Amino acid sequence: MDTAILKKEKLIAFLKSLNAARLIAPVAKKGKTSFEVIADPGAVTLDLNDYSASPKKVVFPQTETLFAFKRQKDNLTVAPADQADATVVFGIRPCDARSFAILDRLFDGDFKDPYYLNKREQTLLIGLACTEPTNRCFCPSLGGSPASEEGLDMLFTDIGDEYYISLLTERGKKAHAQAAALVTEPTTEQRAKKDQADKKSLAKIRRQVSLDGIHEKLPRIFESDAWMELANKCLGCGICTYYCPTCHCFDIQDEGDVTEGRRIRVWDSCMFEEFTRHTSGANPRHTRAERLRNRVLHKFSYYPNNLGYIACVGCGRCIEQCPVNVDIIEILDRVRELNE
Amino acid sequence: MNNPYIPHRAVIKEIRPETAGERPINTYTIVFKDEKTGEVFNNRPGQCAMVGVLGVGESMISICSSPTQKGYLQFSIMKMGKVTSAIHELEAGDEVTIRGPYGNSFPVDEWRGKKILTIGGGIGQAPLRPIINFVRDNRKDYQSLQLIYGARTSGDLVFLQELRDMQSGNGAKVNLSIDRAEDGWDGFVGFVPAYLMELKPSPENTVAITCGPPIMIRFVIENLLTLGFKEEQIYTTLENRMKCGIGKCGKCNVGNLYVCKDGPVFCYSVLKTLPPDME
Amino acid sequence: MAAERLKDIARKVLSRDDVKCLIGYRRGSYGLRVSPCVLTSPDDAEQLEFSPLCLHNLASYLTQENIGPLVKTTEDKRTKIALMVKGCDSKAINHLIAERGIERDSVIIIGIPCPGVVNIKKLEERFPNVVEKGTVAINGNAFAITVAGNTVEVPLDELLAEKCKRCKHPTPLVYDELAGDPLAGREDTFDDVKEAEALGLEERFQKWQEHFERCIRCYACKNTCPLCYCSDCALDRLRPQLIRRSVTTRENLLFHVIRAFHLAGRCIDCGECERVCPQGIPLMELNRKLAKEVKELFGYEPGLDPEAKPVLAVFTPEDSNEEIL
Repeated sequence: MDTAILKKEKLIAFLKSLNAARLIAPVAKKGKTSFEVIADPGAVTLDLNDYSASPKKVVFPQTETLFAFKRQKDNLTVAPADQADATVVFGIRPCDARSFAILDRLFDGDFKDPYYLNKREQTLLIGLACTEPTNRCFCPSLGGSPASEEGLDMLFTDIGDEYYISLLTERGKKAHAQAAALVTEPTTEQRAKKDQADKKSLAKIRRQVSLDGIHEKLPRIFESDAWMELANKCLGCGICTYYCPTCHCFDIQDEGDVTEGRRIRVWDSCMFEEFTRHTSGANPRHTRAERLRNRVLHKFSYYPNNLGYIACVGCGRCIEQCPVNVDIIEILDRVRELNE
Repeated sequence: MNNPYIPHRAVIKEIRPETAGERPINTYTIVFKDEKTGEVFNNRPGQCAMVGVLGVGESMISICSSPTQKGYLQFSIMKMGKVTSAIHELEAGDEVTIRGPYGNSFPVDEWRGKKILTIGGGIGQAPLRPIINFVRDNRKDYQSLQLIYGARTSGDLVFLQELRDMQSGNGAKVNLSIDRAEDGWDGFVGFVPAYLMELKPSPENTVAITCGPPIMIRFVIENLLTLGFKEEQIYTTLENRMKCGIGKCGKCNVGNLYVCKDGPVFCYSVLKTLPPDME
Repeated sequence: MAAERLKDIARKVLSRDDVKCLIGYRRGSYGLRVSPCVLTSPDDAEQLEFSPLCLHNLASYLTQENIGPLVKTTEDKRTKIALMVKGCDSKAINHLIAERGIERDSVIIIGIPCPGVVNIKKLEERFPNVVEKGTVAINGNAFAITVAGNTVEVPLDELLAEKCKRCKHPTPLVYDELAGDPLAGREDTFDDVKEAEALGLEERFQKWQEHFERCIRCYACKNTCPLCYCSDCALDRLRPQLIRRSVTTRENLLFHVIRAFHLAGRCIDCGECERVCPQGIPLMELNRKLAKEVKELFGYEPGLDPEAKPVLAVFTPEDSNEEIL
């Protein structure tokens, strides 16, 4: 079956039945909700309206060992760290799930990135549709919605006393089979409730941006002075990029010494001044205007050109977290108005 | 799944000092520890590789030998930062790591039958050398080969002995220049773009490839266009800060293109369409 | 402070031919947000406002790369930057001058005597999910929060930023124009630091480890700090490498502690580092602990006098030499 009903009080039992080697779900951590590995499904917190960081760290951790190495005379061992544990992520928002679909394209391709792809392959994504979009949300403007199914294996929708479960992939159906005893077939009334819940959530989204003509316009206004105006309050920190579910830039560094150590990759931010700085000191993007312009074009022009997706899901975290009110909606509105 | 981040072990066979000073340049001849790796490496002229020292890091360096030079790879490396300084501390017999080959290449097959003109400045001669050696090793496939190459002083010219040997041979025309007059230098004195205008090479059936400091490239391209070269006849290479080498980490993009994957070789007709995002 | 007085001053300043730009505050893009802005023409002055939502220390833009329109030619006399500063912000300018980071005559300071700003996190918890642009004003002993035509009053001390409760200098200590009447300050007896000092070493370390476990090394704290302006930050360098790039509790702790020491005797307690931290790390506690030490050891407080020599850049024969082995 493609859909099911789960009574809310059976949620913990459902999660237990999945028998996940690793279960990641939202938990309360110092007043903020965060996606963490939990041993006991009972620790799940579903008051998700205040959660900030996206769960992209599940497949793309902030710090990750690529390989460890050890040299003893002529003998060198290099141990890749690209294996992954079977993981279930429960409670992921539809916007964040869409970001996984967007990032998949980058890490795949001519050169496959086993660190991301192995984890991704081993990760089952169970989403929870949003019932209370916040003041930062604008996902419908980017092709999403509070109940979007893209990127998910299963989607839970809260319809009152029960969850309406949509099974979206073969993998989702297979995992769900283990919990067959806990669920029932949806009635017509329950299906109607799902429909109403989706419409109600969608109507609560209050911010939007029109992307009409943006894709064509951006390259044409590359040299506009507007970029400096838009960027001159930017601090050049990494908050927007680190909170963004689709940002993927990283740095590679060696730690240890020449006899023993590891090569790691860490998140990096195109907004940092030294991101593109050459060893010689030359820097193609040494001003904040150039870096902000590059970030906007990367997301709304280059990534769609190369990989077919706008690299933004409208989650609004960059807007909410930016300490100086750099607002992508305001930027795109300005771009639309600019004379070429 | 093949892991593209795991480097191959390699050994330095020979180190040839090219220039001295604060930022010396050496040419390293490197051999893979595992012969089989070398057999399938199949680098093409213009491609680069990540040359690294475990525990220190990697640096993307142009492969300055041609695929016709079998059994080894050569890299001309200037001592600049953390990784290149560590490489400069190594001796013949020491190990490095290699990842690659990365990037696109010069379309040397398409250029058969044409006159090849390379215009280099300083260490920019290194990415041109694989073309030069490829053409020399397939000489009958090309109509002619001319090199214009200059540096600040005669001490800054790389591959100088090779170039002198080529000058005394008859397979290629080699025009060398230095920026300021020196005792014992009887060649051209002045900047490379000016030397180009002196020599006035004909654009007929010619491909011009230029590498060097960004400002030199700019003036060389301007002058080539003035001499009647069409945009499609002009090639250059770009460089940028790189980390992954495979188009994922986001550091090296110029507009839509990643220099590590879609470059480093760019025809001027394409380069023109890129946003002015390179300083 | 009347809004019109501020705009008049701004118009006057922007009409000068030696002023490149004016950095001020304008209404934000949504909700209860205010945005820094860089104005270049007298007509722009209409946008300026000042309210308890004006949290940013605009002095930090003085050391950002080229703010505002480029000075186009050497004949272009527009070299001065004008900016709005609250009392706390003005101390940053004083200290920048004291340590020769900027020249006094390169800035035109529009001082705003400040009755206090909000704790934005508490405000947004009280008034969550606001999209329509709103405002906050001070009505006597209360904040008046207006959203969509509706005004709610909340007693000042429920939403006042912690730093304002102990603010000694609400009136800027250095200015060219004062856009309001001077205000009296309060006391600061370092009670928060004393409370933290009461913890034993083990407990203290445990507490900070928990805080730094959350740090994501976004560097918002460093970038917003007006006194952190080294173009080649020691903590970013690779040769020598003081801090690893891997984001672990240990490296995070090292980063913050070293940065706090680099700011000892220089941090002017504007609290922006803590305000901008997206992970809610109480960074000011570190800086204020060191400020208390500097006060006790050297009797020095930065930012009060642009002529006073920076404490750790000078010595006198009377200095205690206990630490020299």
